[in-house]
Amino acid sequence: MNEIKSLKQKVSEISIYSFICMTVIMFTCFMLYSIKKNKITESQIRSELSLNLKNQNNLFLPSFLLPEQQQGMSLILEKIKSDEGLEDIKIIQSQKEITGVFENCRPNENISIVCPSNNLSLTAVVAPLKDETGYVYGFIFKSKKNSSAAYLEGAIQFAGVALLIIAIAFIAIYLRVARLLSKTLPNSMDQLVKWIESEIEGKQTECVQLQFKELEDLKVKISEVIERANKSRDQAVIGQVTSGIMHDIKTPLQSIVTAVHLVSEQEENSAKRLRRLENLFTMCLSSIPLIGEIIETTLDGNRKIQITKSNANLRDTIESSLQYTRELSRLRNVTVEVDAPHEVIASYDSLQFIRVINNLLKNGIEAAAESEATLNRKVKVSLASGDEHIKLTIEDSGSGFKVSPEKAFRAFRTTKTRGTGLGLLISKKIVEAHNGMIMASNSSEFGGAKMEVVLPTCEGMR
Amino acid sequence: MKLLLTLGIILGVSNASAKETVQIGLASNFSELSTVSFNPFGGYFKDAIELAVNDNKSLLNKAGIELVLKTYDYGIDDINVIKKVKEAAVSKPLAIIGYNYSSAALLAAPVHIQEKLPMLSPSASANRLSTFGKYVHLGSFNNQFMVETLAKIATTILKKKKILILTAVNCAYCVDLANSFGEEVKKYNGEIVKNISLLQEDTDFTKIAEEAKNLNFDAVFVPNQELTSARLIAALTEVGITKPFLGADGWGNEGSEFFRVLKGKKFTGYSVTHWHPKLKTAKSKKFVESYLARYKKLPNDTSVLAYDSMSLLIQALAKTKPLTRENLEKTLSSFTTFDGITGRAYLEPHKAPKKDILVLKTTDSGFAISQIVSPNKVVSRE
Repeated sequence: MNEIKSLKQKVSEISIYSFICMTVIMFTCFMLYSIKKNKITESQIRSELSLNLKNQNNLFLPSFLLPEQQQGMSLILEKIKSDEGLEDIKIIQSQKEITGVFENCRPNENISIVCPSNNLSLTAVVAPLKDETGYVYGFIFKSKKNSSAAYLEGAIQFAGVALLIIAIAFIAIYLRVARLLSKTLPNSMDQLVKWIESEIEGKQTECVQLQFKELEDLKVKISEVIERANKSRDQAVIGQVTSGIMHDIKTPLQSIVTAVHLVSEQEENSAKRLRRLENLFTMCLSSIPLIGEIIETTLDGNRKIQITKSNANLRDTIESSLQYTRELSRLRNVTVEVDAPHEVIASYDSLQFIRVINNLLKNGIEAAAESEATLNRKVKVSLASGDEHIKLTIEDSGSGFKVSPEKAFRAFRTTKTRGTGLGLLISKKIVEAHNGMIMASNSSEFGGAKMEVVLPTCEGMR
Repeated sequence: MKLLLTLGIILGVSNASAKETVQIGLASNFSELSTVSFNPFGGYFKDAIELAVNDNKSLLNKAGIELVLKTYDYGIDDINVIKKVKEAAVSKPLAIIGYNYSSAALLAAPVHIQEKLPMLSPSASANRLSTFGKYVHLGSFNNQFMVETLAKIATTILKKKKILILTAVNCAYCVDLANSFGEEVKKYNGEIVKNISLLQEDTDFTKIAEEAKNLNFDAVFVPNQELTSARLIAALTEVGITKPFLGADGWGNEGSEFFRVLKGKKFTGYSVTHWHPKLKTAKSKKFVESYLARYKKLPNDTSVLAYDSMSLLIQALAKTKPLTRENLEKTLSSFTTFDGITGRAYLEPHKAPKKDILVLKTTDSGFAISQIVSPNKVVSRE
């Protein structure tokens, strides 16, 4: 799976990419412009340097001949340097005074010499300073940056400044956008999520003002969706709870109603009526607690489970549960196997825990019964004890979970044709009240559902 | 008797008809006569030379000399002076008159000595010109006399002891004046606050004016030629400097050019010069009238000095027999005095003459004569 990049990384990538593109475009423009400008050739530099040599020869000679004017030489040199835009100008007496990039330049007493510098960025002219008789007083040395070099240097300086400005602009944009996408937007999204949670939970919250119009619009749309979903859900809940309760209490109520009807058919004070009254009494004794349990079970889905732990043998609790479901498994033609040690002592609330095993066993039997296979309808109950935990596994040969098994623990989720969808949720709450875990998966052995309950042992709890 | 008379007439006629042609070279910057140049006076020089030849025609005729003037134009580059002297040396001129500026004269002098060709500079005033010796003759007092006079004015009359100097360092005349003035001021317990360098060709003195503004001085010595000096003073007054300015003969005399550059900016200035059109001597008045009549313009000090020097040279030519360079050199060296438009000059061979110096002071529109200082009034001279 590809790594998902954060918005900040994305912004960083886009900024760097844009910066590189801008830089490449800018330098390409500069290069094209430089090429156009670089048509000023070295020969032009030569002619520029040589243009005033005759006049300058005449200008300098009085400084050699007249002691009064010797101090004027430096000022004249400065003036020529400034006027001609020279890199350097000096009066030399011999080749020894030419150093650096022009060290190979050899002055000639008869003609002026043009020398390119070693790095080709400068051009120099060395001309003899001589009078009419040909007497050489020295040499004038002038050097100038080649126009291309000078232009390139200027272009590089300009490009440097431009690059700096672009870099600063991009950093500023990057920081602003990165902050927007990595902090401001997530904060707003977080606010939106919290608002959604509050809306779903039906809590009263202060009016949340999001920073972006788009999110505000989204909030309005989500609000409408939640409103619609809540209405549908409320109607479904009411229907399911009502039908569940009605279904569950219908049988015991019907038994009581039948028993009452049987009593009313007999004459008063007759022996048969008395027997039927006893039957009604027995029926009430067994059915009314069951109705209470059904109502209690429904309420437990919405409230915290209270448990009272004591040391008990889990095998005994399993056996008790098997007693309750024996009739059901017989009627549904499902074989229930038990693979458990005779004694597994744990600290738990046996009255609550039997509800868990009853629920899981009932679910397993009903799932196995609803499978297409008529033979080998099985439910297997396994119990394993370790140093730190005890694991109870109930597997069936039903059709298993078609979607994510974890969703089985949500309220009102059921795959059964008849059921409240609260059984597994209540079982989960009871197990978790024991600091245990309940997990749902598909059984590789039987092909149906596999429910695992893990409880900590006394050692494990310590 | 009749025979002698006839011989005399014949000799006289033959003398008159057999005039000796003498060529004199005129060396100057003739190619640049514009007033926007820092060396605009080649025209004034040549005009005055021709006027002097004209005015001394009778003397030349008497001496049987047919004077031919040949111009040697060295243009704006002083170094061309050497080439022109060499040209003249191998040619006919018996002497060269010219080199109005000290730098040209200083470059020419060694070649004249080498070529044994007499030179006479009417206006060059660098002190070193008096050290060359034979073949070098001068028509103007030297810088030393000017700075002695100016130092005395600054320190004793104006009571200004802290002096700022602004020197064009590619001008021999200017540097010589600046250095000599510095030495002279020290003799009067004065102080040179700073000597700021510039070039004659500079026209923008804003930076120098700003620098000067931050210095502590009492007066400014501007030892440069007329246009450069005027531009400097204009720049300094522009930034609010109101201290007095001092200058030498480079500032000119009546100041029309100077004040044109200043464009009405007021300043207090003192300068020294050789001559002024308002000088009330008979010779000066007559010269101004002749010059004005002939050239329809007022002469300047270059004209006057050229006129006096040419007159001196003509006197020397008239006295020289036979007319050779060497004999002319001897005659020129033999003069002890000369009475010219600029007054009486006391001559000493190969040295700057001693003569009166005019102290000028600024008025609203030009320079006016403040006083005339005789050479013997200044204590120390060369």
